[in-house]
Amino acid sequence: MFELTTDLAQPIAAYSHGMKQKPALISAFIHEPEFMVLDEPFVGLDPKASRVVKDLMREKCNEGGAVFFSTHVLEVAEKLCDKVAIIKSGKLVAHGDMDKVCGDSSLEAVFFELEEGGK
Amino acid sequence: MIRKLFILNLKALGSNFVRGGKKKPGAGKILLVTFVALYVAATLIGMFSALFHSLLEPFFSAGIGWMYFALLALIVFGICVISTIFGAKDNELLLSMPIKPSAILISRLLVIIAFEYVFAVIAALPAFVIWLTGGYATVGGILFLATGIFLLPLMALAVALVLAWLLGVVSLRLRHKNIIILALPVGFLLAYFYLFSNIQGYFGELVSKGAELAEAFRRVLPPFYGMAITGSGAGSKITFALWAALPFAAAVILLSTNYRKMLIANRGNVKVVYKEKPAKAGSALSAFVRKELAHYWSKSFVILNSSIGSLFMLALSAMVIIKMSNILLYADEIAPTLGNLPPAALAAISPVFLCTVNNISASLISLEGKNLWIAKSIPVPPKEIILSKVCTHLLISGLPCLAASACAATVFAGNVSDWLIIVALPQTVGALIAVGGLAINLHFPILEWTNEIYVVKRGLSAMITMFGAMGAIAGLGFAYAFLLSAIVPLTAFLWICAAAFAIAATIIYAWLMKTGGKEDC
Repeated sequence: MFELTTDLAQPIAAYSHGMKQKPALISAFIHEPEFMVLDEPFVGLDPKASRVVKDLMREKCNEGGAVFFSTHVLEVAEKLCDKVAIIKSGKLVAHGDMDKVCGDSSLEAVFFELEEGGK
Repeated sequence: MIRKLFILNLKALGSNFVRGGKKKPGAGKILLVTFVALYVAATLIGMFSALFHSLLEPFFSAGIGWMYFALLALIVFGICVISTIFGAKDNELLLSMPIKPSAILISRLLVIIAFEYVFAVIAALPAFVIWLTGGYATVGGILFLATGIFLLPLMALAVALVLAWLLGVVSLRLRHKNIIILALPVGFLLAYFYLFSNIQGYFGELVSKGAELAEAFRRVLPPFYGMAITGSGAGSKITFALWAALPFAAAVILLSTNYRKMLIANRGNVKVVYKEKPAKAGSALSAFVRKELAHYWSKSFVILNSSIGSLFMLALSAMVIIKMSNILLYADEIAPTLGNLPPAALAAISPVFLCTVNNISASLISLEGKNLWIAKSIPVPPKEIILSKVCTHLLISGLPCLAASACAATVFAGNVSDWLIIVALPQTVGALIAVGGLAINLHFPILEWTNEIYVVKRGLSAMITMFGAMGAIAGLGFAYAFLLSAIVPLTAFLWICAAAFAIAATIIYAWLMKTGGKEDC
């Protein structure tokens, strides 16, 4: 799935950050949970692996499950998520369906609006 | 920069003892560490006191008092040659910073020297006090001895540096380096025990051939001879000082210029190519046990520091089979000196003491280090992981122990009851140490180590487990000898102990299975 086969003989400790992310994600998906909590799942992943993870997350949601994940990449959140929540200084400042939170703007515009509005 | 690095290294070493993660250690933990350190120091001082007390009179009354100090010098030297400066995991990080490699080297050396002085004082203090109270001391001798103790660790460190460098160079060209690295100290230990078992004969030879030995010592080991002749002239003292200081200075200069090259050298690690083969489905438990065993076999210092008892158990098994008749004769001879201890009890107790030296499980959580996330993230119940660590200890310690006990039982057991106690007692002790060591390590994990050797050798949980087990067994022995021997027959006492150990092991195992996985490492 993540093209780790050629590196299976190496210890995980010798993997790069992105490669370590792959067995961690495999561990998370392999037992087919209905609900997943992922912290920055795309950090360090190459574009191909990142695409695989996005597809898997979408598939999980289409099957009736849920994936709750954090990210700093707003474009990813905007394209991938059904619902979004924005946290600022530890406080929830906006949340709801993506369409409702963003309206006609982009998620990035909403984020900076909230960021500047709070100053 | 050297001072800052030195303080950082000292703090890192300190955190190896008291800190597991980012949490600050509490007063209780610091108290416990202080107690363990004092207990270890007291044990070593007691051991060296007994040794030097037995040596003082024979050596000085025979006119070979210099041998007393020569042995002291050799012991201090021996316990100081235990250092490592090349395997630290933060070497690459430090080298990437604008810090001179020589500053990294010197800061590491200073930490090692500081520790060596502590060990040197622990070994030398009993010898010094016994010599002083024995009435053989002179003012000049005292001053020279103090200087000698200051200089000896430098010479030991110079030798350790050269040995480590040589081992590094040689190991690049060897395929089975772990076996060789393991064989060297085991051979040394076996030689030590052989010499120790024949010590009385050597004493006799020492006394009769004192002058010849002095001459041989002077020729073969001049620095130790120089330190030994505390009452001689200034020439020999200067020679000794030069012997100690010059190799150290030369080693530091040599390494300073090559340190960067040595640290970034390709250690011969070739990327293993994965060959596709059909996957074998097995239980998570067996996979974890295989992983633990693979790590264990790949690190000679782990084998040596956490399971030396198993090596001796295997040696004991072989010895019992080969020398069965001699052992029976020897057991009859020493029985009166041990208060007519029944042979079956002796056979049951010997593997017990070897079990206490094995503390494999006491560092298995710590050894996960920064890879603990793997165990935490995989979809396997934590109790399976914990159980795998207990099983690893039982396999490495329990199987050789079973072999040693079975061999001992074959020779010494008079009936079925003897057979059972000889086999059962060491196994219950081993099981208690397996679960107890793991529980202690869960409570005191060290995950931010820079070198695995600190965890296995000097980790708080490893020390508590080993010295705690030794203390408990010795305590029970004393309690029986002085309090209970008149009330309870020895075999009955051993059965009571075995039952108590089994119950304690079961309780700790149940706790590990129920709440151990929830411990925050």
